[in-house]
Amino acid sequence: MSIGINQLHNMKFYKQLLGNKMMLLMKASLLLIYCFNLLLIFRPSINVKFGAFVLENAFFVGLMILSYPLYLGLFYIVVKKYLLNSKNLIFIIVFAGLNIGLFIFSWILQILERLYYPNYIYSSIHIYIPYLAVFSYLEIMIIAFSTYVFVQKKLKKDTGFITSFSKFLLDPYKIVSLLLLVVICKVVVVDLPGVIVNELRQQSNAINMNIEFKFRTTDMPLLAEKGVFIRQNTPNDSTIVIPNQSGDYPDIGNQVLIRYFLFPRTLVSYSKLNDYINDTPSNYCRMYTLVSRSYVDKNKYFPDFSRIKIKRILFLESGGKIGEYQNLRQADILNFLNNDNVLIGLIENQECSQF
Amino acid sequence: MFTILIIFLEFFTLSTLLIKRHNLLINLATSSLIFLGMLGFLSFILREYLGISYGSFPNYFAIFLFIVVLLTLLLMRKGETNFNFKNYFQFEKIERFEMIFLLAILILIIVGFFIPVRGWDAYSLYDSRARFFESGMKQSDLASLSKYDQTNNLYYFSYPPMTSAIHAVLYASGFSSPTFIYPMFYFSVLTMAYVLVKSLRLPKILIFLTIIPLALNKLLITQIYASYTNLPMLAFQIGCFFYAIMYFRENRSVYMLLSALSLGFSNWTRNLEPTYVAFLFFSIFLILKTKSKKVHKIIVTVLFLLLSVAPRIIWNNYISSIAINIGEIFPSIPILLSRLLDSTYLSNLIDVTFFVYEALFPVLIYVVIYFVVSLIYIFVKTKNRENETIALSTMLLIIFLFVIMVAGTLYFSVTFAWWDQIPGSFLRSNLPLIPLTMILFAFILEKLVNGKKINTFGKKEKVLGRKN
Repeated sequence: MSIGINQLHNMKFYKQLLGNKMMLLMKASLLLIYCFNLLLIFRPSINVKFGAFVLENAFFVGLMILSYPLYLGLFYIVVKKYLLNSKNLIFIIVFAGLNIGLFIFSWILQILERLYYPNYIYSSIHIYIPYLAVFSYLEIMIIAFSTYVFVQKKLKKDTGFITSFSKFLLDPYKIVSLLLLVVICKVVVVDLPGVIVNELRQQSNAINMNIEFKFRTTDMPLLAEKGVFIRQNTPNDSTIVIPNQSGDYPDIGNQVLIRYFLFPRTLVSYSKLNDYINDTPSNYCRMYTLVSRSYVDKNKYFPDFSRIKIKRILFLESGGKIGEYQNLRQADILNFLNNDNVLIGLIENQECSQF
Repeated sequence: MFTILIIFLEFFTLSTLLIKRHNLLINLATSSLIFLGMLGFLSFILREYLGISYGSFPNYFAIFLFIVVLLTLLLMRKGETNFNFKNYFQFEKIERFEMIFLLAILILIIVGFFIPVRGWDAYSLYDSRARFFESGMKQSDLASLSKYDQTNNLYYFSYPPMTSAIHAVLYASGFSSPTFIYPMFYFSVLTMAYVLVKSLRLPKILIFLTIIPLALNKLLITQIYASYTNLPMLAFQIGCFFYAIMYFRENRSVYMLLSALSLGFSNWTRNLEPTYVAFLFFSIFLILKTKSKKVHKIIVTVLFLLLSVAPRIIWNNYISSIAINIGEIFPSIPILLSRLLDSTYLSNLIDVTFFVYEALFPVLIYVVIYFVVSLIYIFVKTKNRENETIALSTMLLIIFLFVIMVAGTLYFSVTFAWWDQIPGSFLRSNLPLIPLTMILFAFILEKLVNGKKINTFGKKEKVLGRKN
């Protein structure tokens, strides 16, 4: 079916188009999306930091709060004036009630999260809050739905503000303009400030970091500090033993990541150390070992100090201070690592085959 | 550094001569896109197969291009009776808005010279590889680096080396940071979208408003200074899209060449996503729709296929030639189909649906726009058959892209355990959705605006046609 632009102003056309079946379809799809979002929120398998989400979307969430009275008012008008059909009335009341309930629920959860620690809700009751924001899209749908009800009821009496409003919404040119406006608002008002702030932070990092230009990783300044520290304190032809890649050592255990700073040094994962020793003649050996505390388990360390002979050991503290020590006992080393200021340590090994 | 500039100018001259449109924006976008693509493709091929280092590559390339430019000039002089070199460089007057746009891009590019490389993937892969290349290593040597790596054994082979090779050439030519190439990619995406939108009969204010959601989109602008491959990939894909449309409109084989090259380069940038198939079908569809002889169409189609898929084949052969089995990322078709069938059990389908919905959440508004706009499209008539075809094929392209991505996710979901860990990269692979939706949007706007005559302020002036 295709029609000319002028027919789009013809209300009869829409009456035919949006019959009772359409109404049913709309209800069904609304319910479907609703259930889908509920499932999404209560699905206990996703892990994203929550605090960052709220900060990034503060404006968006604020808009949601402001728009609620508006759309409740709209509902009131629709329900009171034009909804004579009791089935529709019940549907909309139940739907609105559910939505408001969920909204309040989400805010209680968010306040709880603020009171305890980030990710508290997820870790204790496994509810994923960020997707509660999905309901702001639902609001838009509800408004569309109510407008649809206006039109159906108002087609008979053709006067006043509501008619002109519905006419506005039925004009494709205006729908398109409205969409354009929404997307521009989303891009310019909601997203852009966050992007600019982040970019400025990166730029100021790029200027202020006290590190060789080549290695200024502005989005991971700490990693750059560690990498350059290791680079400056090891010769180019040395071999560096690093922990195995895991959640314990996400950055320095990742060979491909830290090779960016350490190339052309040879990197050996701890589990591959025996292979390396077997492959390499023992008279040539400049071995270093990284020293670090696990990110996850504060009582876990790399490497196993009882099995290593240390020639000297270096520690990098935040602020760029480097301490060099010899003849440290294991307890002293652990003391250093338990200090939160210490970022990373580097051991110069005494011999090659000492593991 | 100077040589790189000369190469760019040579590309600019060449594109100005060949495209024959006195439009500065198109020429700049074309030359920056093809310039970057050629740098990334040829330098790698010459290094691996002929042993020409990344440092000396620009010199040879500049000389070669100079000869090509001279030859083109000679040929054109023979072909045209009133050939005048100067005529080609008289560009249409640039509007004030375009001037501001060019200035902004120029600032972005200049800032790019002073910004260090950024992005986790760049540190671990793209820029790392560039630094290894610059130090004299070949791609095939990189396997030895990971010999004592517990997990990422073939990590350096996971993507083709487009941006790595560009970085390597730039490092070897004395640039301290290659970040300025990403604003160039951004520029070409925007310009192509802008030129397409501008070619429609729309009021200036509407052109401006349709470009803004594209130009300032968070996902795009966060990539301007990040050395990921998604923005280059997008630029090449949009290049393919743009030139295919230009070919369809003007029926000149230069455009088909450019379209095929762009798609080829996109295959040389990232090869994991199957999205190139959608662009392939799109271009071939438009080739078949042009008004020319059947034989001509078939020849063009075959050439297009050859050029656009060649980089993919070269890279796959290169990987297998150094005896590396990268895994099941490139399956054969029967395996693919059986895996897809295997993946269609309910709980998996639900998981995949959740994954797609979550991943695409930030671009949901574009998806909504797509659906609304397509619905309106069906109900509104237009007389312009040409634009009709373009808009329709763009609609199909977007659907096809989406279907391919979902099918790819289904395949991944039964092949890899980590398939649901990468919603971010799934989203970034769907970046073409943003410019394509906005371009489609402009086509629909044109339909509506020209159905109803409006003045520049957007007010209704007069309703044309029959009244009901």
